[in-house]
This record gives sequence, structure tokens and C-alpha cells, in this order.
Amino acid sequence: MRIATLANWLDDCCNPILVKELRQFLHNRAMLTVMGGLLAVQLGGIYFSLTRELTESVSLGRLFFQGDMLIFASCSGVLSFLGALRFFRERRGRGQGQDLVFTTPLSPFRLAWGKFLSAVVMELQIYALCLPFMMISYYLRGIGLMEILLISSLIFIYALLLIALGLCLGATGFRMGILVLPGFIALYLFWTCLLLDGRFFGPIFGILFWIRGAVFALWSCGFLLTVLQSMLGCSAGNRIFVMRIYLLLSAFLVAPLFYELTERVSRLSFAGGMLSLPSWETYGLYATGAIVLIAAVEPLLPSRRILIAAPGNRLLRGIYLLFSSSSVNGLTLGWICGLICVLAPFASSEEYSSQLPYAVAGTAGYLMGYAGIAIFLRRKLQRRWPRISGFSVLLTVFLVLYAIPMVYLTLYEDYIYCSMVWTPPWASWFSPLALHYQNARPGCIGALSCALTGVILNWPLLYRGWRRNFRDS
Amino acid sequence: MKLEVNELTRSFGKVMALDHVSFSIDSGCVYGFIGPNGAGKTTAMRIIATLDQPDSGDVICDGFSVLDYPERARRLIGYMPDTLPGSNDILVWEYLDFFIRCAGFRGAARRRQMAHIEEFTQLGLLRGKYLRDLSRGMKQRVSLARALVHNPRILILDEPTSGLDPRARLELRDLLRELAQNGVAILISSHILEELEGICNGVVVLERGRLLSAGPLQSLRRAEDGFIQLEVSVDGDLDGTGLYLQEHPVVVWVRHSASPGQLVLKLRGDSSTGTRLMAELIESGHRVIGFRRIDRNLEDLFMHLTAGAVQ
Repeated sequence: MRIATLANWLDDCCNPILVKELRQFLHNRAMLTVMGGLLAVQLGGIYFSLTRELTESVSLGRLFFQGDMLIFASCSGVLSFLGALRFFRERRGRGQGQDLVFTTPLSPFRLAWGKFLSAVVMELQIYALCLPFMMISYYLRGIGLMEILLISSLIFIYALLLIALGLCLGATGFRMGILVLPGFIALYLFWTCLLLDGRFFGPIFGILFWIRGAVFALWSCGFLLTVLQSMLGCSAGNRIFVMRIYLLLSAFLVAPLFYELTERVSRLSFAGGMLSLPSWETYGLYATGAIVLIAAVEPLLPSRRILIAAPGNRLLRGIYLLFSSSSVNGLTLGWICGLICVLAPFASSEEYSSQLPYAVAGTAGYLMGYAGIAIFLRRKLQRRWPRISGFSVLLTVFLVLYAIPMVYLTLYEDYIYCSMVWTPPWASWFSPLALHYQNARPGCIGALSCALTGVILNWPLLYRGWRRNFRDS
Repeated sequence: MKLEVNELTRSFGKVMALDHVSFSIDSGCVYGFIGPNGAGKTTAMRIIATLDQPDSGDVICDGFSVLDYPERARRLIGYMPDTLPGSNDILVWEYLDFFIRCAGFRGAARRRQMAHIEEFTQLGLLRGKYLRDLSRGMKQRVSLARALVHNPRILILDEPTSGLDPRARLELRDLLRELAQNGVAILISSHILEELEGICNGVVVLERGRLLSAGPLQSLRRAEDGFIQLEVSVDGDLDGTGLYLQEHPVVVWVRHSASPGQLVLKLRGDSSTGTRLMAELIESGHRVIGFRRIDRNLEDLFMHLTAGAVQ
């Protein structure tokens, strides 16, 4: 009886999309045929290997493992592409293509997780199908058990990232999203090939490098899921809230802790390396850059619904609205985080021995400036062309201020040579490229000017937004 | 419970699919959504169902804007599209179970709701079949069941009768009547106007994205540009009576009815004008044994409203 109750409870807890997709998967003859085919190919591979003179080779196990993993990676690529394509059709579609799940009261959080988990479970099924053959490759010699587990886990984790990326690109509803996905799949396959090449486990790319890479991939997966959730959310609601919390928590808390932990565990701590404060500052400024860039594509002011939902207490209201969906509040939060990060070293007795945090602070300053300029331009352009998107404006600003100087420097100034010299050329002053030179001061001044320009241009909007935040409290 | 559509505007490129469309439907009312192909019916329905966003305007369900609070609106609205989308590799009960889960039903409540929906839409016999094996009519029935799984207070039905056999159409009509009696506001689009006339007590007429008319059928018929039609039963000289009426200043035209001994006439004015005309007819010696006012049917009304209304 208790087991039945527990089963019912679990059944209720399951994400509806996961339940439906699994049921569909089990009924889908094509999928079952593909799985059967995959199994047959692997069995055929074993038979082929064992009946030929290849048995004499000592690296047969490695060869077999590489083949198995390539099949797995290819299936993951196809799965992520099909998932993205289907989601794209459901988001855009009318008639047969549309998905009526978007008419149900299912929250964006459950929708995003449901889609992701369904794909992950299918991925797991393919992985489970490959697992016995990985073990067989161990008995065929040429590869260690730890290596098998590590490489296969890494490939699996990167496949999760690919799935999340595919869902995000599909959810945009833009054809371009689907068109660029094969590029990422090719990158994933290339990465898989690199991983399968044992030489990458040498002194340059130690095991710590790969573990950190896997953690970064998992973090990116989480970030993409928050992006997906915000894309599926109601435009009037506070759909950016989870993303901002995720960015700040991971950047200011989890990432530095993880970094320190891995440093200590691996006993790789060395004098002059990243100490706790600089690493904290570096991750924090990355998050700040992301927050302000995202703010540039949000609605300019918080919606009526967000203002109604905000708490009445002025302090709590202020904090809540900093995490609310709007350019004004995103820019404000970015500035607060940026100032905390930049000023933190002055309050600390720690001595900096690395230039990295300065470079990161400068980069964050440029990004804040870009976001500010993009918001200003969007305000002006949307008066004439209301349909112009914040993303297009931001992309244009980025191209003009970053990409064009980059191309110019590469073509005319010999970028590599210039980075050795004392003074950066004028073309780099508008971009973080200026920070790459030995004398980073012009770059830092450029970053500060850029960030301030963003604020000055948007001052009327910021003032109006702040007043509006507290007007109805 | 009220569905209010306020100044809804939606364009696709240069094509204006909806141009400041406004109407409202009260609880328990069944409104027909009519218009030629490409009039913007499906676009409007998709916006109401939160599947699309308007360029401007809003839809208010029970006081909540579907743009500001779509998740609340989704709890109130049931939407049935013109075709049952995708998901063919799934059994009927699994399909419905999915949407019942999405609506938040858990445990025993979920099973009860499933039983209720299956009974209400008479899907019990189909529950073990794959969606891919169903006929169009059966799929329509599943689609309706899906729209009803969360007991919506507003039902949006896009061409629900297409592909249904006559018996299924009658059953659907009864079902909708029952829902309306339970206080559900229903907006139903169809090209078969006779069918709508049997169910609807109001209409919304669109053409090329513009609202031509909206309101209760009765008032639309009455408000129809100061003309009425009468059917007159005459004992004796039908042609003579016809000639007399034809020459009367308020009469627009007179025709022989399909039934013997009856004339149909259109006159300028209202019911009292008609009564006075009949009194004059009797006084002038014509043997009138009965007369009644003919309400315009939906088809006439539609043709009248859409005839060159939007250029």
C-alpha cells in the first residue's frame, strides 16, 4: 500500500512534459528502430574487431571506445538538432506544428525543465546503450577504466550543453537560430575528437582543466535553462528574475568557491596566482557584464504587473525591482555590482599580483558602456521604427565599437606586434582591445568613459525609471 | 465571467490581420465568429488563447489581461484549434492525461477528471486508440475534450464542426448548449452559418480584419437598417393583394412565398408599420387570414453585412 502511495506521489511529481515525451518515445517505432540499429552497429563492431587480425593490436580497446563515443556524440548531435527543430516548429507553428502546451497553465519553469529533461532522458538511453560497449573496450586493452569513465562523462556533459543550447535557439523562433545550430554540433564533434585523442590529457591540459571545463559546461547548461525559461515567460512578468539570481549567485558565490576548492584539492596553488578576492572579483565582473548586456534587450521600464507585485516596503521594493525585468533596473544592478567588484580591492589588505582583474574590470566597463549606448539608440530609433529590436541595436553597437576596430587592427596595425608596444592605437580605444596593451591605463580610462557615457546618455530614462519604481509604493 | 476584446490589432508584414477589433461575450452566451476566409478569425482566437500577441489592444478575461497575466487567463480559457496538432504517437487517454496534468490535477482528482471528460465527450471507446489512427471527426472530439480538461469558463472553438458527420454535429451542438447552460462563454467560428444559427445567440462578424458587427443575434436582426420582412397568408386573390402591396409606398418588394397562398414582402419601417399596413390591407377588402414577421436568418445577415462593407 505504501509503495503504491509512493508511486502515485512520484507520478504526480513528474513533469507532465517528461511523462508525455517518454510515452511518445515508447510508442514511436522509428525511435525504437534507431535504438535497435545503434545496438546492431555496435555488436557488428565487436564482431568485426574480434574476428580480424586487429585482435593482435594492443590499442584495440581505445579504437573501439573511440568509435563507440563517436557514435554516441553523433546521436547526441542529431538528437539536439531534432529537438531544437521541433521546439522551433512548436513555437512558431500554426496548425499541425503548434504545441497546445503553450495554452496550458504550466509555468515557464516546468516547461523549460520538461523539455530539457525529456531530451536528457533520451540522451541517457543512448548513453546506457553505449555503456556496455565502453566496458567491453576496457577488456580489449589499450584504455584505462578511469579514462573511459572520464571521457564518456565529459562527452555526455557537453551533449547536455548542446541540448540546452538547441532548445534555446529553437525557442527564439528565428530561423537563424536553427541555421547556426549545426555549427555548434560540428564544434561539439570536433571537441569530442580532441577529447578522444589521449594526447590532450598531457601536461598542458591536465585533468583539472577538463573537470573545470565540465563544471563550466554544467553552469552554462543552467544558464541556458534560465534563458529558456525567460524566453517562455510572459513579457509583462518578471521573467529575468531567475536569470539574474542565477548569475549573481554563481558568480559571486559558487564559482569562486569551486575555483578555490579545486586549487586546494589539486595542490596547484602557487604564489602570484589568483587569490580569493581577485577570483571573486573576476567572476563578479563577468556576471556584471552579462547582466548589463541582457538589460540592453529588455523592456525599458518595468511593467505594471511587476510594479504591482513588488513589496510595499521601500527597501524590499528597491531590492526586488533591481532583479526585475527592465533596462533601467538591469543597468542599475550592473552598476552596483560593478562598483562593488572594483572597489572591493581597496577595502582589502590583500595585494594584487595579477593584472587580470584590472583587465576584467575594464572589459566590464566597456560592456556597460555598450549596453548604455544600445539602450539610448534603441530609445531614439524605436520612436521612428517601433519594431526594431533591442538585440539588433546591441549587436550593431557591438559590431561598430568592437568588431570593426578588431578587423582594422588586424589588417592595418599588426595586432600581435602592437600589443607589445607601450601605447595602444586609437582604433582600440573604443573596445576592450585597449586593455591588451602593456600600458592598460588608456584602456581603463576608455572603459570608464564608455561606462559613464552610457549613464549620461540614459540619465533621463534612469531618473524616470527610479521615480516610477517608488511612485506607487 | 466576461470575455472582452478591446481594440485588438495585429499585422503580418503589410497585411492587417486585425484592425482595432472590439467585442465582448458574457457568461452563458454562445457567439458565432463569422467572416470570409482570411478575415482574421483564427488570428483573433489565437490571441485570445495566448498563442499570439497583438500589436496593440488587449483581451480581458474575468478582469485579467491575457497579455499581463496569461497564466491566469489560461486557467479560464479552453482553446480548440481547427486541427489537432502533432503528437500522433500517443494514445487518446495519454494525450488527455498530459493536459490534465498540465492543468494541475493530481492523484485521485486527476483520475476523476479524466473519467468525467471521457464521459462528457463520450470518448470512452476511443481511449486506447492512437491519435494517428483516428478519423478527423474523432480527432475533433479529442480536441474538444482537450479544451475542456481544466473546466474552462471561456471556450474558444475554431471550426469545431469541420469533418464531423451530421450525428456528431448534433451531439456537439447539444454539448455546447449544455456548457452554455453551465455558464461557459463560447466563441465558435464556422463557415456553416445554418449550424451556428442553431447554437448561437450572438455573432461577431469580421471581414479583412475589421469588425463589421457584433452583438446578440436578436438585436442585430432588429437593428438591421430600418427594414422588416413579413409573411402574409391570403385567402383568395393572391395576385390582387400582391399588386396592392407593391404599390404601397412603404413596401420595397413583394414575392410569392414557396408555400401556396402566401406572400413575402419587405417594407421600410418597424413592426408597427407592418401592423398598420396589415390593417389597411384588411380594411381595403383583402382577405388576410394571417401574417407574421420573418426574422432574417444568419446567412442573410452575413451577406447583408459583408456585401461590400470593406473596400
